[in-house]
Amino acid sequence: MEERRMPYRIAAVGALMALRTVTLAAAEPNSILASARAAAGIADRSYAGFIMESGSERASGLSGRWSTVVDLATGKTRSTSNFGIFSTAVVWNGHSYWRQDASGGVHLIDSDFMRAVHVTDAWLTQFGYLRRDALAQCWNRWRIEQRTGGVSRSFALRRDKGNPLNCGSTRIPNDSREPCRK
Amino acid sequence: MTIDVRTVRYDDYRRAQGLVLPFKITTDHGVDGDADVVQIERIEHTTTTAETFRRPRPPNDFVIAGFQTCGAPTS
Repeated sequence: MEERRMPYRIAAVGALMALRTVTLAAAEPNSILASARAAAGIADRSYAGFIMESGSERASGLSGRWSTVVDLATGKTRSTSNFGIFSTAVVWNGHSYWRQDASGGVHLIDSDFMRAVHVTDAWLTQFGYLRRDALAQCWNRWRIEQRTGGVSRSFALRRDKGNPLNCGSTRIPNDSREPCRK
Repeated sequence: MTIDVRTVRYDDYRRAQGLVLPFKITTDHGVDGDADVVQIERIEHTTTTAETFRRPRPPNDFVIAGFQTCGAPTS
Protein backbone atom coordinates (compact mmCIF):
# COMPACT_ATOMS: atom_id res chain seq x y z
CA MET A 1 0.00 0.00 0.00
CA GLU A 2 2.72 2.38 0.96
CA GLU A 3 4.66 1.65 -2.20
CA ARG A 4 1.62 2.31 -4.36
CA ARG A 5 1.09 5.69 -2.76
CA MET A 6 4.73 6.69 -3.10
CA PRO A 7 4.66 7.78 -6.79
CA TYR A 8 1.76 10.12 -6.05
CA ARG A 9 3.62 11.60 -3.15
CA ILE A 10 6.70 12.08 -5.27
CA ALA A 11 4.64 13.68 -8.03
CA ALA A 12 3.01 15.99 -5.51
CA VAL A 13 6.36 17.08 -4.20
CA GLY A 14 7.63 17.62 -7.73
CA ALA A 15 4.65 19.82 -8.51
CA LEU A 16 5.17 21.73 -5.30
CA MET A 17 8.79 22.39 -6.11
CA ALA A 18 7.91 23.55 -9.60
CA LEU A 19 5.41 26.03 -8.18
CA ARG A 20 7.95 27.24 -5.69
CA THR A 21 10.63 27.95 -8.27
CA VAL A 22 10.12 31.68 -8.52
CA THR A 23 9.43 32.44 -4.90
CA LEU A 24 11.79 30.03 -3.24
CA ALA A 25 14.44 32.59 -2.43
CA ALA A 26 12.00 34.83 -0.63
CA ALA A 27 9.99 32.14 1.10
CA GLU A 28 10.37 31.32 4.75
CA PRO A 29 12.26 28.05 5.22
CA ASN A 30 9.78 26.77 7.76
CA SER A 31 6.87 27.34 5.40
CA ILE A 32 8.69 25.45 2.66
CA LEU A 33 9.27 22.52 4.98
CA ALA A 34 5.67 22.59 6.16
CA SER A 35 4.36 22.78 2.58
CA ALA A 36 6.55 19.94 1.45
CA ARG A 37 5.45 17.77 4.32
CA ALA A 38 1.79 18.63 3.74
CA ALA A 39 2.13 17.78 0.05
CA ALA A 40 3.51 14.41 1.01
CA GLY A 41 0.90 13.76 3.65
CA ILE A 42 3.43 13.83 6.45
CA ALA A 43 2.47 15.58 9.65
CA ASP A 44 4.85 18.13 11.09
CA ARG A 45 4.52 16.43 14.45
CA SER A 46 6.35 13.45 12.98
CA TYR A 47 9.48 15.52 13.28
CA ALA A 48 10.60 16.43 16.75
CA GLY A 49 13.80 16.48 18.71
CA PHE A 50 17.42 16.45 17.67
CA ILE A 51 19.65 13.73 16.31
CA MET A 52 23.40 13.56 16.07
CA GLU A 53 25.06 11.53 13.36
CA SER A 54 28.74 10.77 13.68
CA GLY A 55 31.25 8.79 11.70
CA SER A 56 34.33 8.91 9.54
CA GLU A 57 35.09 11.06 6.53
CA ARG A 58 37.57 10.63 3.72
CA ALA A 59 38.31 13.55 1.43
CA SER A 60 41.25 14.47 -0.81
CA GLY A 61 43.31 11.62 0.60
CA LEU A 62 42.74 12.67 4.19
CA SER A 63 40.82 10.78 6.85
CA GLY A 64 38.95 12.46 9.65
CA ARG A 65 35.87 12.52 11.82
CA TRP A 66 32.51 13.91 10.80
CA SER A 67 29.41 14.78 12.78
CA THR A 68 26.12 16.51 12.19
CA VAL A 69 23.43 17.72 14.54
CA VAL A 70 19.97 18.12 13.01
CA ASP A 71 16.91 19.80 14.47
CA LEU A 72 14.22 17.56 13.04
CA ALA A 73 11.51 20.19 13.48
CA THR A 74 13.15 23.07 11.64
CA GLY A 75 15.95 21.62 9.53
CA LYS A 76 18.65 23.55 11.39
CA THR A 77 21.96 21.78 11.06
CA ARG A 78 25.51 21.98 12.28
CA SER A 79 28.06 19.79 10.49
CA THR A 80 31.72 19.55 11.39
CA SER A 81 34.64 17.77 9.77
CA ASN A 82 37.85 17.33 11.73
CA PHE A 83 40.94 16.17 9.88
CA GLY A 84 43.35 16.86 12.73
CA ILE A 85 45.48 19.46 10.98
CA PHE A 86 42.37 21.45 10.19
CA SER A 87 38.65 21.35 10.65
CA THR A 88 35.68 22.81 8.86
CA ALA A 89 32.12 23.52 9.84
CA VAL A 90 28.82 24.42 8.25
CA VAL A 91 25.91 25.89 10.19
CA TRP A 92 22.39 26.57 8.94
CA ASN A 93 20.31 28.24 11.63
CA GLY A 94 17.13 28.37 9.61
CA HIS A 95 17.83 31.80 8.18
CA SER A 96 21.58 32.18 7.77
CA TYR A 97 24.25 29.89 6.47
CA TRP A 98 27.85 30.02 7.65
CA ARG A 99 30.81 28.10 6.38
CA GLN A 100 34.04 27.84 8.33
CA ASP A 101 36.86 26.92 6.00
CA ALA A 102 40.16 25.17 6.66
CA SER A 103 41.84 28.46 7.67
CA GLY A 104 39.32 28.95 10.46
CA GLY A 105 37.74 31.90 8.68
CA VAL A 106 33.97 32.09 8.92
CA HIS A 107 31.99 33.16 5.90
CA LEU A 108 28.36 34.16 5.81
CA ILE A 109 26.90 32.77 2.62
CA ASP A 110 23.86 34.98 2.37
CA SER A 111 23.13 35.65 -1.28
CA ASP A 112 19.53 34.99 -2.29
CA PHE A 113 20.80 32.23 -4.51
CA MET A 114 22.67 30.42 -1.77
CA ARG A 115 19.84 30.93 0.68
CA ALA A 116 17.52 29.31 -1.81
CA VAL A 117 19.94 26.46 -2.37
CA HIS A 118 20.28 25.90 1.33
CA VAL A 119 16.59 26.07 1.96
CA THR A 120 16.23 23.40 -0.66
CA ASP A 121 18.98 21.41 0.95
CA ALA A 122 17.22 21.73 4.28
CA TRP A 123 14.05 20.57 2.65
CA LEU A 124 15.79 17.58 1.19
CA THR A 125 17.41 16.81 4.47
CA GLN A 126 14.17 16.98 6.33
CA PHE A 127 11.88 15.49 3.81
CA GLY A 128 13.96 13.48 1.43
CA TYR A 129 16.09 11.37 3.62
CA LEU A 130 15.04 11.95 7.16
CA ARG A 131 11.36 11.16 6.73
CA ARG A 132 10.19 8.19 8.65
CA ASP A 133 9.13 6.17 5.63
CA ALA A 134 11.96 7.45 3.50
CA LEU A 135 12.01 7.26 -0.25
CA ALA A 136 14.77 4.77 0.26
CA GLN A 137 12.24 2.11 1.03
CA CYS A 138 10.87 2.42 -2.47
CA TRP A 139 13.99 3.69 -4.16
CA ASN A 140 16.65 1.86 -2.31
CA ARG A 141 19.46 3.63 -4.05
CA TRP A 142 19.15 7.08 -5.44
CA ARG A 143 21.22 10.14 -5.90
CA ILE A 144 20.74 13.85 -6.07
CA GLU A 145 22.46 15.92 -8.67
CA GLN A 146 22.67 19.55 -7.81
CA ARG A 147 23.69 21.95 -10.53
CA THR A 148 24.47 25.47 -9.53
CA GLY A 149 25.53 28.44 -11.57
CA GLY A 150 24.15 31.94 -11.78
CA VAL A 151 20.52 31.70 -10.85
CA SER A 152 19.81 28.28 -12.24
CA ARG A 153 19.46 25.32 -10.04
CA SER A 154 18.10 21.88 -10.53
CA PHE A 155 17.81 18.69 -8.63
CA ALA A 156 17.46 15.38 -10.32
CA LEU A 157 16.65 12.26 -8.45
CA ARG A 158 17.73 9.18 -10.31
CA ARG A 159 17.81 5.54 -9.63
CA ASP A 160 21.17 4.01 -10.25
CA LYS A 161 19.49 0.99 -11.76
CA GLY A 162 16.19 0.85 -13.58
CA ASN A 163 14.02 3.67 -14.82
CA PRO A 164 15.25 7.20 -14.28
CA LEU A 165 13.33 9.31 -11.86
CA ASN A 166 13.12 13.05 -12.27
CA CYS A 167 11.29 15.11 -9.76
CA GLY A 168 11.88 17.88 -7.32
CA SER A 169 13.77 19.81 -9.93
CA THR A 170 13.31 23.50 -10.12
CA ARG A 171 14.33 23.62 -13.76
CA ILE A 172 13.91 20.45 -15.72
CA PRO A 173 14.59 20.29 -19.46
CA ASN A 174 11.44 19.49 -21.39
CA ASP A 175 12.91 16.33 -22.79
CA SER A 176 13.43 14.87 -19.33
CA ARG A 177 10.20 16.02 -17.72
CA GLU A 178 8.35 12.83 -17.11
CA PRO A 179 6.07 11.70 -14.36
CA CYS A 180 7.78 10.20 -11.41
CA ARG A 181 7.06 6.55 -11.51
CA LYS A 182 8.53 3.37 -10.37
CA MET B 1 29.20 31.89 -15.57
CA THR B 2 30.71 28.98 -13.73
CA ILE B 3 28.81 25.75 -13.46
CA ASP B 4 29.47 23.51 -10.53
CA VAL B 5 28.02 20.02 -10.55
CA ARG B 6 27.87 18.30 -7.23
CA THR B 7 26.47 14.80 -7.01
CA VAL B 8 25.49 13.47 -3.62
CA ARG B 9 24.77 9.78 -3.23
CA TYR B 10 22.87 8.47 -0.24
CA ASP B 11 23.42 4.76 0.30
CA ASP B 12 23.16 2.05 2.89
CA TYR B 13 19.82 3.05 4.36
CA ARG B 14 19.02 1.62 7.75
CA ARG B 15 16.51 2.25 10.46
CA ALA B 16 17.84 4.32 13.32
CA GLN B 17 16.05 6.26 16.05
CA GLY B 18 12.71 5.68 14.34
CA LEU B 19 13.94 7.12 11.06
CA VAL B 20 15.26 5.63 7.86
CA LEU B 21 18.63 7.20 7.22
CA PRO B 22 21.56 6.76 4.86
CA PHE B 23 24.71 5.52 6.53
CA LYS B 24 26.93 6.40 3.61
CA ILE B 25 27.01 9.82 1.93
CA THR B 26 29.29 10.36 -1.04
CA THR B 27 29.79 13.81 -2.52
CA ASP B 28 31.35 13.89 -5.96
CA HIS B 29 32.61 17.21 -7.27
CA GLY B 30 33.37 15.84 -10.70
CA VAL B 31 37.09 15.25 -10.14
CA ASP B 32 38.17 11.66 -10.60
CA GLY B 33 39.11 9.97 -7.37
CA ASP B 34 38.34 13.01 -5.26
CA ALA B 35 34.95 12.13 -3.85
CA ASP B 36 34.18 13.02 -0.25
CA VAL B 37 32.92 9.91 1.52
CA VAL B 38 31.17 10.01 4.88
CA GLN B 39 30.52 6.71 6.60
CA ILE B 40 28.09 7.17 9.46
CA GLU B 41 28.76 4.93 12.42
CA ARG B 42 26.32 6.16 15.00
CA ILE B 43 23.02 8.01 15.15
CA GLU B 44 21.52 9.04 18.44
CA HIS B 45 19.06 11.45 19.92
CA THR B 46 20.79 14.40 21.44
CA THR B 47 20.20 17.73 23.09
CA THR B 48 21.43 21.10 21.95
CA THR B 49 22.42 24.37 23.48
CA ALA B 50 22.05 27.90 22.23
CA GLU B 51 25.55 27.57 20.78
CA THR B 52 24.74 24.63 18.56
CA PHE B 53 23.25 26.55 15.67
CA ARG B 54 25.18 29.77 16.14
CA ARG B 55 27.84 31.16 13.85
CA PRO B 56 31.04 29.09 14.15
CA ARG B 57 33.73 30.75 16.25
CA PRO B 58 36.97 31.64 14.48
CA PRO B 59 40.06 30.31 16.27
CA ASN B 60 41.91 32.74 18.48
CA ASP B 61 45.18 32.29 16.60
CA PHE B 62 46.47 35.85 16.36
CA VAL B 63 48.17 37.21 19.45
CA ILE B 64 50.79 39.93 19.79
CA ALA B 65 53.21 38.84 22.50
CA GLY B 66 53.61 41.34 25.33
CA PHE B 67 50.95 43.64 23.91
CA GLN B 68 49.52 46.04 26.44
CA THR B 69 46.83 48.63 26.06
CA CYS B 70 47.30 52.10 27.38
CA GLY B 71 44.98 55.01 27.76
CA ALA B 72 45.32 58.04 25.56
CA PRO B 73 44.39 61.50 26.69
CA THR B 74 41.12 62.57 25.21
CA SER B 75 41.23 66.20 26.15
